[in-house]
Amino acid sequence: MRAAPEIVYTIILAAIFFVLLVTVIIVTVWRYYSRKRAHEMEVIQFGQTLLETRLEIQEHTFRAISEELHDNLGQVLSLAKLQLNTANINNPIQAQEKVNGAIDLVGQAIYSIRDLAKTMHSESITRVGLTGALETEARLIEKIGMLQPVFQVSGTPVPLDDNKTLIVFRIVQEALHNVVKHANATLVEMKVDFSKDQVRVTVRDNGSGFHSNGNNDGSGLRNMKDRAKIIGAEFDLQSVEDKGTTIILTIPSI
Amino acid sequence: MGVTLGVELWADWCHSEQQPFLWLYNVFVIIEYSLLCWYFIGVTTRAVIRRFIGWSIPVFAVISIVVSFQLYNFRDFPGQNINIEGMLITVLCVSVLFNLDSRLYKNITRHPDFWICCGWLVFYAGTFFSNGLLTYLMNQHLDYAQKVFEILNRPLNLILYSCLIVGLICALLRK
Repeated sequence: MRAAPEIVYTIILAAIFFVLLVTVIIVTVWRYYSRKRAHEMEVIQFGQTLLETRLEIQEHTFRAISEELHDNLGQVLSLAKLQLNTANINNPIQAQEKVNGAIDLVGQAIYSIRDLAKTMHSESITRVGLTGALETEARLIEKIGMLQPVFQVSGTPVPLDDNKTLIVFRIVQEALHNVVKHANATLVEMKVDFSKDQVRVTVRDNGSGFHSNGNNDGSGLRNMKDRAKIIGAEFDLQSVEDKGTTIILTIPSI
Repeated sequence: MGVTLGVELWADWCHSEQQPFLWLYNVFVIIEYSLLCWYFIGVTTRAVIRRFIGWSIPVFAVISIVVSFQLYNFRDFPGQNINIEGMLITVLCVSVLFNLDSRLYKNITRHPDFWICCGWLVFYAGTFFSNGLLTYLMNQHLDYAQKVFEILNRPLNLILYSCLIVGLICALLRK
């Protein structure tokens, strides 16, 4: 008996539909696991970047402590020692002056040590938050005395994830380091704008600027861009020769 | 599932009281589609797809009401409405399956959306087949039509509800 055309069409259509169904399920499983692998790679890369960031912050902290010990504390304590060594106990008035001078210098040293204790390391950055850490960084720049920092915060601060905070801080720290080292600037502005779903950090200087076409960026700049990408942030650099450089980092807060 | 059970019990009660009950399915098909869309909007991350799903609810509701009036006058079983719903749900399931969030579960078989979408896909694949076969059998062998429909429909429902239950268990295990 020949099958009626309707039943043949039904069976053919059903077969096509089931083949499509099986294909959809196979493609789904394949896509799921490829995306999972890609995500796992991203997680590994993020972990590596975070570790690098922590190490760099640690290195920066050690360098800052070492410079402070050498340039400030060492000098102040040497001077205090000199004052005490030259104090003549047979001349009580002069001796009293020298001791008073030494007391002042030791007081300065204690103040410097307290300041040094506030130097930013990874735990303190996550504890004080992004704005607190950047404010301290601005104070440190002011202390160097080479350029005038301006720090502004607008909007209601939204706490960022600890890892994001560390990476953002490190990007800004690298940007500030570049300003201090290469920009010949007299002013550096740091601005943090909090909005509903994003945080925008701007670092602007009035220095010499440079010509960037994206291809010949130094490793510092590449690192900043890569790190921004890893936390899902947008990195925008605008530089005009003799007018300065502006870096805008837009971080999604969700 | 609760709404489905409620409608089935209501229809059964109407049937036993010899009251018309097929109008219930004409209304239920819109409610079912809306609830499924609501679920799919919740699990879809892409804004474009979410918008598409959102807009498809009123569009389907209007089409379904027109078809029910024109073809069935709210008195017969809404076969065409279910076919349209099936096609839309199939598209939505494929889209959800292709965009499953792989970060949440180590294994795809632990993903509730995988089971839920697979269940609906298998169900509608079988429904299209059984509807086509039923049309042919009704014309040729009316006696067998009902029997064949039951033979095909029962396992399809079993597969659908088993998948939905597995999906529910997966979702509960994650919590």
